Amino acid sequence: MFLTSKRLLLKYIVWLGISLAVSRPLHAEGLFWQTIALVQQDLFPDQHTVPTLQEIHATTYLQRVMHERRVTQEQKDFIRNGERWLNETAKEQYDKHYVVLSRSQRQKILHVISKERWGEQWITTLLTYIMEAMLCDPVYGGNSKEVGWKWLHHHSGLPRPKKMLV
Amino acid sequence: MMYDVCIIGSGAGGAPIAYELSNAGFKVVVLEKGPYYSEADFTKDEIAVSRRDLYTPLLKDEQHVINERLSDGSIKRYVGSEYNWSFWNGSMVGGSSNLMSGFFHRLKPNDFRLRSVFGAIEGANVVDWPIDYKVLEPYYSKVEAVIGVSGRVVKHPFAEPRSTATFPYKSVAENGVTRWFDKACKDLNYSSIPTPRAILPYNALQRQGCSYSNFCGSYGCATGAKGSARAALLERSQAEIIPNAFVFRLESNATEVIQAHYYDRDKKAHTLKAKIFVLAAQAVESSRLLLNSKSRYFPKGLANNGSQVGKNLIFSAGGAGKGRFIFEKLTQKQRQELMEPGLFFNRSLQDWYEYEREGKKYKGGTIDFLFEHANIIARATREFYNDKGELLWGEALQEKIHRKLTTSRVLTFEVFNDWLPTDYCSIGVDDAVKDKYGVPVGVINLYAHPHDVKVGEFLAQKAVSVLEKMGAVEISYSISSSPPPNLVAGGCRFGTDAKTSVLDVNCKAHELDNLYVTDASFMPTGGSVPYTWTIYANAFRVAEVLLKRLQSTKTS
Repeated sequence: MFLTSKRLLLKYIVWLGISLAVSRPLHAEGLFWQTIALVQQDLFPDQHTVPTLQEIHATTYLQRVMHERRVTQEQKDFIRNGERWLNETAKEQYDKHYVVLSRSQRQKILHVISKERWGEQWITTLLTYIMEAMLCDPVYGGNSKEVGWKWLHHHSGLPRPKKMLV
Repeated sequence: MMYDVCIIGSGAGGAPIAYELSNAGFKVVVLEKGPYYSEADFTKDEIAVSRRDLYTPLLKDEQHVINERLSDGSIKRYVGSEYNWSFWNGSMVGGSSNLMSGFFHRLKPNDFRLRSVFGAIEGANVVDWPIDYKVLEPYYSKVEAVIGVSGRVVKHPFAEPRSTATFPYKSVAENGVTRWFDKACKDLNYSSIPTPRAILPYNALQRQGCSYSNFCGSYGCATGAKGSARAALLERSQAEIIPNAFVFRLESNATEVIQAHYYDRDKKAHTLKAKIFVLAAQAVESSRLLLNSKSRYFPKGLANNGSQVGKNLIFSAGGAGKGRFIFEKLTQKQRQELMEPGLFFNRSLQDWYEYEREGKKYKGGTIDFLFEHANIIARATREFYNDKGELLWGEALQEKIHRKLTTSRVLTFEVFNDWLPTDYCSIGVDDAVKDKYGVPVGVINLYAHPHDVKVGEFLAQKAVSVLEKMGAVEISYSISSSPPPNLVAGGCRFGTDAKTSVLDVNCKAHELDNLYVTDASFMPTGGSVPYTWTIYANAFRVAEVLLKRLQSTKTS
């Protein structure tokens, strides 16, 4: 779900309040992925000639990565902590959560954290998984219809995997 | 069951022994820590193979401790899992030879006598080998024929003597850009060498030829064209192969190894008896196993009463560099040549294998040139920063990735020069950090002699001159003292003096009658080339010794 309009945003805030009252863990998880999806959009925006995040399933790809055994727990914790630190920066700068900031405000936050060591690393981590989603073999759930490979005129090596090996 | 020979490790050091002795009718068993992947299992899966390191253990399960000696003499300790620092290669039947690029170079005659030819270097333990090139030459030739080495013999200043006029297999098909390289070298008066490859260009040796799939190094070969220890030897042998068998101790009496203790994948312990034991688990792990095999006969570890096991660990020194060819500077035909996928860029330079500077004679090395690896995710992630070192995202990043990956191609080079053996670079074991089996992990005491970087810098600048002549842009290189984990040797030197070596001339432990070490551990110095061809050749040499020994025992 993307916050594409103010109406949706209001709905989201109401849902947020209810969720907070009912189930904090569920809310936290939803808000976490909401934030991640929006950061992905800010890092790799939709453009006419470029594969979109929807086409490469960037968020669901990262959700799967968070369950991979061969991705270290430190890496998974860092992705989660980075989201928290991002929101702390958003609070400091605008006293608001990242997901309710304007596009230009969000870009400013990304520029602010990119000057921090953790922030630079966190952005490159998210970008790396966007690249994976865009350019992996489609058996891994990204790169639907090989849209990323076509964009970069890439010829896959053969034979290709028939199933996910990780 | 009593086997004639038990081999620990199934890579380039162990497989020739298995091949020769089992095919001669002896009972041979190979214990391999990793799983058995066949050609049908190998796909060009960048996520699994390159980004998640499918073929190496998880560091939380198995790791190393690295003690890095800094320039002020202090030691910085790294626990591998905490720093994500891996020294594993290919943990599978056939070992890392499954994943090699197969750049095959022989050592040169002077590599066997570095101390005599170039003299001592302060702070380095350089010695001559106990054998010379002539002893190993027939086995280099044997590897060409049995493993399948393709190439074209050309004259150059440091061409090694050969007993055969040509390679048994013609070169694999080459990208047209090699012609640009050859012309640049001719203009510079350098000798362009077609790099020999352990890759079959066509069906032979009961294996399929190369399919030019555009992915080679780091990936298992699905056709069997690559001369891995598995494809070329183990699958053509009669040896019994037990995968997922981690040998954690060799039990001995005062003079002989009696049995190997190993865990299976369920951590169930087993033992296995043999008349002869051959250790070839890769340099670090071979020394680790010996050091972990303490007994009342060998309180400091097996074959280590002379305190030599683990000493003089070496890597390949050098580094890597690159240059980019951009469409703006090329004709339409050149663009097509440049972007042609699949075909190889097999070129090397050895003009400075030895060189003089300011009246001093230096041992130099080899420069291999190759296209940037085809891994598309890795190539895209390398574009995250602009020329000023600023992190990019958004449209700026998208534009850069598309432009760089569709209208240019990177030619890379790798520099190989000697990593001088020293007292500070060695292998030990760490009693505090244990692997998933509860066995002390290997310790890598790391130190690079400053001389190594000096030579690497000299060679890198020569490589840069070729790229410049070819018209490349964005040329850069990095020569450092970082150890490449896939180019590791030493730890169990062979030699004639038991006080300064672990193994005798035939790679048998001085202190035991039936223990041989045949991976790269035996090498006192590494030469200035990738090691695999030499490991194969030496293992075939030792196999001949073992064959005679077993045959004489049988008839007596």
